[in-house]
Amino acid sequence: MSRPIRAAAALCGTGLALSAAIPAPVHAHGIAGDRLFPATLSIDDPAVGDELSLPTFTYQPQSSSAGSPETRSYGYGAEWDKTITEHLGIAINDGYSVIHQQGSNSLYGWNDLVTTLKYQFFENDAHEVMMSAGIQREWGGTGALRVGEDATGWTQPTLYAGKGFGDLPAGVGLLRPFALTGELGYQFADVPTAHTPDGPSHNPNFWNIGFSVQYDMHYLQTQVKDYGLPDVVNHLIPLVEFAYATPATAGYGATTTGTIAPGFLYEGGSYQIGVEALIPANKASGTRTGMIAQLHFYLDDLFPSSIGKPVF
Amino acid sequence: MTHRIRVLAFVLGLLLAFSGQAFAHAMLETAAPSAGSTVATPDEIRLGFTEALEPRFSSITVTDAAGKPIAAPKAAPDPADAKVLELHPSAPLAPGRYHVAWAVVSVDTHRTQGGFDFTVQP
Repeated sequence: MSRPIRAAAALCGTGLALSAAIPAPVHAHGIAGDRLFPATLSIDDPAVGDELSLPTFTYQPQSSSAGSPETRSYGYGAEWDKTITEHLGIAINDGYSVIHQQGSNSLYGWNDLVTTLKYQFFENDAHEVMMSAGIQREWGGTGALRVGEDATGWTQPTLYAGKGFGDLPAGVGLLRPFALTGELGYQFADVPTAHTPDGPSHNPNFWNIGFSVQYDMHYLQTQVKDYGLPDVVNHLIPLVEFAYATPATAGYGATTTGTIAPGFLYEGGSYQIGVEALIPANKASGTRTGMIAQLHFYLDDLFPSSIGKPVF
Repeated sequence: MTHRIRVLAFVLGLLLAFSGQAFAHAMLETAAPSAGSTVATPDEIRLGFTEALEPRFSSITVTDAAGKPIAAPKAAPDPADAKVLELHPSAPLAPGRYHVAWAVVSVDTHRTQGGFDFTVQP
């Protein structure tokens, strides 16, 4: 079975495991106290959940440089997050890439499959804090080498955290809708140096560092002051995401790269729409701005008694 | 490739088809008095949510500037609207600042909570 078919079969199989029992009240999404930590686009949020990102669309143009033609890359991704228990979850992530090259044939192919096992080990409602730890695994060789996917994989222990500022005093009420989230991961390459027909291929380890700064307009309206803004505005979370990767071992030419992604999320209750610009953080990351857009479903709201609840 | 896209499109279609039956988290949508407002002594604290509530697990607590809870019967849903929770103070609120803390459970058992301040004018 191909990966999507396996995923769909698992989805349907879980869906058949319906339960009529009414569980005790639970938190879902990424909620700590009064704070919703939404699903962010460039980095992962600090919660586990039953969610589906489908699709995640990315567009990244690159100017021509020495020996490389101008390219326009399009990505069509999907991620399914499933809770095993209330605080333990898994995620499956895959995508399809299309790269148009100036003066040359376009390249098409699947990305390497990435899976994540994640455990939320800390939550403080009063101070709107949430922390999780996880292990990400890229299954090398499952994607297409022609679109730049890795022939060998990597494993990355990752720490995730979120902090809302709703516990600030009322005197600085306008700061209370702010929140920070972040992740820190160390990526171990399976094979530091692979020998290919084209010569040795070096795969250094990486530090992957990301964080987001968010401002929740619904929090402002309901927890701080209702300014009578249009309803659509009260569903928005303007944010900026920062994501960096820097070599932790001999880089063999690899350097620090990253993106700065300003944009907004629209919270629709059982779904979320996100749009962000992708701005290269330095010259090594590119010279042109791309974009990312995502339609995200909260399965715990859509299917609360079947695939939207923990297995156990 | 086309087969994979068909499978993904099928899953997306399934979600959209069922999305009309969604039971989202109960998020606070309207409040009277509203957050940060200054008002005359209110007869009631009335909170409107996006989803119907489970009354047994839903509450409103109002405290004065000293942190002392005001006297009031347990908050109850509006008989005409299961998405609205009301609290009726036992006595008129004196001028000053008050904090409203709410915690509700939607009919799909998801818990949300929040709080805000309002001021009763002299």
